Amino acid sequence: MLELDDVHAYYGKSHILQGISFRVGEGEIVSLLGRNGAGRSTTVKTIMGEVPAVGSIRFKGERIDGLKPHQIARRGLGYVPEDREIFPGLTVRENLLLGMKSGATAPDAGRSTIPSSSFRCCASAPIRPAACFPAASSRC
Amino acid sequence: MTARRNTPAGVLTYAEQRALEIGITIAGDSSVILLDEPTAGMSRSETESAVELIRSVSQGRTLVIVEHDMGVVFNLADRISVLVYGAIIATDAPARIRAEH
Repeated sequence: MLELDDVHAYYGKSHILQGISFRVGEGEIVSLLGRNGAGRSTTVKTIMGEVPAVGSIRFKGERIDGLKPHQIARRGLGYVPEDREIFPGLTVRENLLLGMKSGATAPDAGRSTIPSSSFRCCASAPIRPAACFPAASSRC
Repeated sequence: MTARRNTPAGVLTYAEQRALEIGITIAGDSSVILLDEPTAGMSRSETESAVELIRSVSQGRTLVIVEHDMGVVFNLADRISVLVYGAIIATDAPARIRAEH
């Protein structure tokens, strides 16, 4: 499903990831363990294209290193950063609908549903453009 | 979250906001989800709830979790990769990592 092969990453001249290789199979839960500064967060940022990768990153057999973060997200990789922010002025439901919009691959992506029972409040909600929400144009 | 669907997200507790962040990501129908420190800043009870949430959303999905809480890691993970100074020094099942490292 996800395969890193000899991946290196740099912040300026600092060599942060020094040849990371690992595979994650379909349905697996893999945890990256290490002290602060070991490169755990940099590894996921590199997978998502936020940090340039040197080496090979494959998702479902296709190279994704070198793609931009939004292109990687559209291929089906989701990312919950440590410092992510929500839209506090929007309701829970509206925040979830924005997530649906960001995952859609086409403007008329139909009536994709949120699959988890924990977020059933949006289970039957159709995808709507973010512009439908009055407060969506700026973070409140 | 169902009961709070019309609640402004800004008045949720910190743990609820973190749960909502996970919800926003799974709403995009991602098949692989990367979670960076999903339980950071949470109390023990909040962490337990977060673990249950992560376990429930993991059904049918692949997860990569960066986590500082060893209890969470050993509770959730099928495999663990140990990083030291930007290199992976071990990858194995939780029981073997615990026994050998």
